Amino acid sequence: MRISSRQYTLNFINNLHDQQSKLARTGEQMATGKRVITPSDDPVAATRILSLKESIGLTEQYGQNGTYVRNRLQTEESMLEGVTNLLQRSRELTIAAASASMSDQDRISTATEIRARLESLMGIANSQDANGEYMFSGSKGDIKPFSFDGVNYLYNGDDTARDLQIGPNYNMTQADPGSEVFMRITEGNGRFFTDYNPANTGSGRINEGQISNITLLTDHDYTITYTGIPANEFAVFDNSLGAAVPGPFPQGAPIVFDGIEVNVGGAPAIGDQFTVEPSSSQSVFATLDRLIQTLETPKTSAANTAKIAFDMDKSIIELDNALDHILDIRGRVGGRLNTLDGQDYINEDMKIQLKSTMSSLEDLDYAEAVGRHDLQLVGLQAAQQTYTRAQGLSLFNYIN
Amino acid sequence: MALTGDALRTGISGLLMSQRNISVVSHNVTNVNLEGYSRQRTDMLTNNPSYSSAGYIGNGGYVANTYRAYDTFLQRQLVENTSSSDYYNTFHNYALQMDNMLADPNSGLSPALESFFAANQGVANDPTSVPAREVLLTNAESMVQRFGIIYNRMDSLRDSVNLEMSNIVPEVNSIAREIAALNESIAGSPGRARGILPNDLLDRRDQLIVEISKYVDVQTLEQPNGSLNVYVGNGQAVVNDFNSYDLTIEVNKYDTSILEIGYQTSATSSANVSSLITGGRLGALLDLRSDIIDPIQNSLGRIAYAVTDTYNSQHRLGMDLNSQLGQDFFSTGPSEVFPALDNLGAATVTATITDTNLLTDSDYLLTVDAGLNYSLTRLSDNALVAGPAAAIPFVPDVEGFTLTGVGAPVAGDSFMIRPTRAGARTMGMVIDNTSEVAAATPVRAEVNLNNIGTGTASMTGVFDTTGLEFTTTAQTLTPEIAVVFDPLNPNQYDVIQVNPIGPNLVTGAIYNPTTGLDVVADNGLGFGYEIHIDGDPGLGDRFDISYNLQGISDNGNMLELSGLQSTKNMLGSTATYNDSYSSIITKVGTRTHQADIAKRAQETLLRQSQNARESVSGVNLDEEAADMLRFQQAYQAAAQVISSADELFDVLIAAAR
Repeated sequence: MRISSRQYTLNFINNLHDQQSKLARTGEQMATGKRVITPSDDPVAATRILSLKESIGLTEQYGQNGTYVRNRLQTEESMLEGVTNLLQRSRELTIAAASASMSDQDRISTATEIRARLESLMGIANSQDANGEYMFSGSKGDIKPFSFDGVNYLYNGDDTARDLQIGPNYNMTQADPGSEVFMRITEGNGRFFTDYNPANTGSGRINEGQISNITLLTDHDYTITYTGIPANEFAVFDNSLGAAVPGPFPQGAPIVFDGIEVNVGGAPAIGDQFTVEPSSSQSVFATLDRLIQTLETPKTSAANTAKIAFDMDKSIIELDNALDHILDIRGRVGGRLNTLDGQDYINEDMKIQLKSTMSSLEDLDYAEAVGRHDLQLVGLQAAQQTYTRAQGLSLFNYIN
Repeated sequence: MALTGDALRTGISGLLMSQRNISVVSHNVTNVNLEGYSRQRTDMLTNNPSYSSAGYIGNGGYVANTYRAYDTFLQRQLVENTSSSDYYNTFHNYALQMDNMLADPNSGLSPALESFFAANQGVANDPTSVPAREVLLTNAESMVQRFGIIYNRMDSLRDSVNLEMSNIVPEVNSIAREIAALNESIAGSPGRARGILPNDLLDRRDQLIVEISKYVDVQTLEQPNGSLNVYVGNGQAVVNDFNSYDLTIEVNKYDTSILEIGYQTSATSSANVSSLITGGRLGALLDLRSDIIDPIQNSLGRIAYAVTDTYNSQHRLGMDLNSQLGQDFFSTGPSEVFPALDNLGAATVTATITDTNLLTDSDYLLTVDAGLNYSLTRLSDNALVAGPAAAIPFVPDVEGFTLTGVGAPVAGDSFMIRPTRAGARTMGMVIDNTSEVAAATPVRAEVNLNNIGTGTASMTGVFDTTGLEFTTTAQTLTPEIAVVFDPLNPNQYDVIQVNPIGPNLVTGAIYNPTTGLDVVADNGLGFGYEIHIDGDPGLGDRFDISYNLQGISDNGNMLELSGLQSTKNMLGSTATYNDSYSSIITKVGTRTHQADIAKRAQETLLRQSQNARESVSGVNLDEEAADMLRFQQAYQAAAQVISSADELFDVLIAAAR
């Protein structure tokens, strides 16, 4: 083919441009370590990379959220451990104080010790986190959750348990509300509890009762009255229905009605009353407070001693319930921490997978790029040398 | 005598021929580097011979014509490839700028969007933390700015398109004028009738056609008088014989910030030919504007409107640190509507977005026909999407927006509707105080501490805070209600009004322990929230539902807000915000990629056609050197002939003396 002189130079320059732009591109790839530098390099991969980046970001966020949850749960766990220790010590003291040989003075000093426990328990329940937010007040973070109005222990928070997202479509509770931890402790055996009328004059003492037939339970209020007639019998009255429960209920035998079985021991006076009520919940503070009041009450009479003995037994049951409850919560917290570890593992695994997918789409194969770079360099040099050599050739050089 | 005289004359014709040829060679050598130059060659002919008894005696020769080595087909191919190559080059250059910007971690929207939602999670993690809220506001602000930055970048690209168009059009006009002038010279050149052509003028004109085709695709038609007519679009002549006709720059009929290409049809009027222009830089600029800049700005605006709308809606369902209901978080301005400059009627039209999920990235044209009926056309595919209807708004709404009109239109009036573009430009922040971030849920459910059963109450969600139950008195529900179970009959409940006290909303309804109870829905209470009661409530148990006063540590609403990041609430519930942005990146990336491939292909084709043309028409110096030697030798030989004739004559004179 016929080549014009201008064409020769132009082709060379074009060639040089091509070589240089390829070299520049390879250089850019090597400097950034990326195969895809702008979306137009590979539009499909670029879109995938973008969505992978978002997924990686989200997964990392879940990991961070998990750390938040873990810190909070670990704090809660260590607080609950403190609570467990307090309650255990209180229970030991109570069992010792329940012994008939304890003097009023001994019982008062026990009461003092338990009061100190109650106060530290209040301290734990009202603790604040680093930001000054109360940990156990549900969503009312700036309100002190627990207070004592002189008669009752009050919960001022709410029931909101705070969730955080620790995985796609997976929320985990980060903070339990105080109502759940300290207030909602089972009363009695979970279905009913027994009590006496403070006005009782005899030494009759009702036991905590047991469920004789769970299917017959009604959740009603009952009053058991020692009528003494006929023949030392008790009368049971269903307050909810406003009707007497058909008897007879003779003294000495278990009183069985509506699935409930109770025993009244000792010597009740005629007209003495006992109650059976459906279990609701009570606070651990009320339990300790009642215990202290019982311990501070001197034993003055047989009737009063029977009441104290009943109250001490009841306190032990309540403390057991409280301990069970706290252990239960701790179990839940531990369970969450376990799940969290699992989720962390899943998140990490997910992150690695996403990153390796992204790397395969986005990252440069250095070995290949270095080889390519060398080849392109050689190509450029060759083009330059060829041009300078060939450029000197012209027939005009030989005309003189 | 005749002998020496003939030899002299013949020798002189040889000298002249060689001189001509050497001057052609020198012309070729001189113009070796001139773009568009075609090497010239001569046609040499012998003079008519003289008859003699010895036969016809030759009388030397002469140069009959100087012609250029030229191939019409190759030249036409060069023109075509130049136009395509410049088209893709320009397109690629502009598209690459956007391509780089959109996916860049520093300037793209994606990272800003992600940081914003990460900050949402930060507040969810620690709802009362002022620093976390501060980070949320800062990140929201920088996301808003990012929308603005990308929008402005697009705007400045559009400005460059406008500027380049206004530079190109005079350039095209001046080339057209030059071609018209050359037409006149060529048509009037002497010898044309005998096939003697002004080669250099033809080269110059051909080169001007190549130059004009860099700007716009042209068709040419040679006239019998030697003129070349030049047409753009679908037959608009910019050169006709010796006259040129100007392209003009016009403002868009609706949006005066947009320039269009006009064609002067008479001294006073011109027609918009933007849509007819193809190829070259002008074609690329116009396509860039309609295929890339406009749709991207629209898509970006659509994301801005969607983020604003969906985030605001959820934010209003929350409660802030001051126990107030959430307000709007972001703000956006109204959609753009442009009445045509030549509208005669008094009607004004307003467009309002009604559903960001249904918006497209197209612009729309609202026209009024002779019967005063309105029709709405989607400009991306020219589909009629609503009407004809006697009045607007169209019922039902179409494409996610509604139109309202005031005043009477006149037949032929039209309006350009841009539902989405203003979004990115006008987006702003409403909230400026960290305490106004509504992270909490405004409703709380409480399980009474004296409950004997195991029933639990949980928040299903808050859906509407504009009802009377929220608005009657701030910071309280009106009424506050409670679900109270019957003290005697298991699983029977009342819904009572606690504050203010009123008649029972529900009495004696039956609770199903296996499915639980949706307090509002199952009882048809019509409140804007839902509480689910589950488990086994006991006799007399009670669940209270009230305003979440002081519930500042709650993060319920913030979890919902964070969830918006992964919610497909755009493009007909098929895309998240980021998906929608990705689709922009894909679109630009693909177009840029295509343009890049086409650009390379066209460059190769252009080089090939340049090579082909050069191969035929280009000057080769070695060839010229050889020719020069050839003609030099011929000249020397002819001179020798004259010298020999002279000697012969001398011999003759001497003999006669």
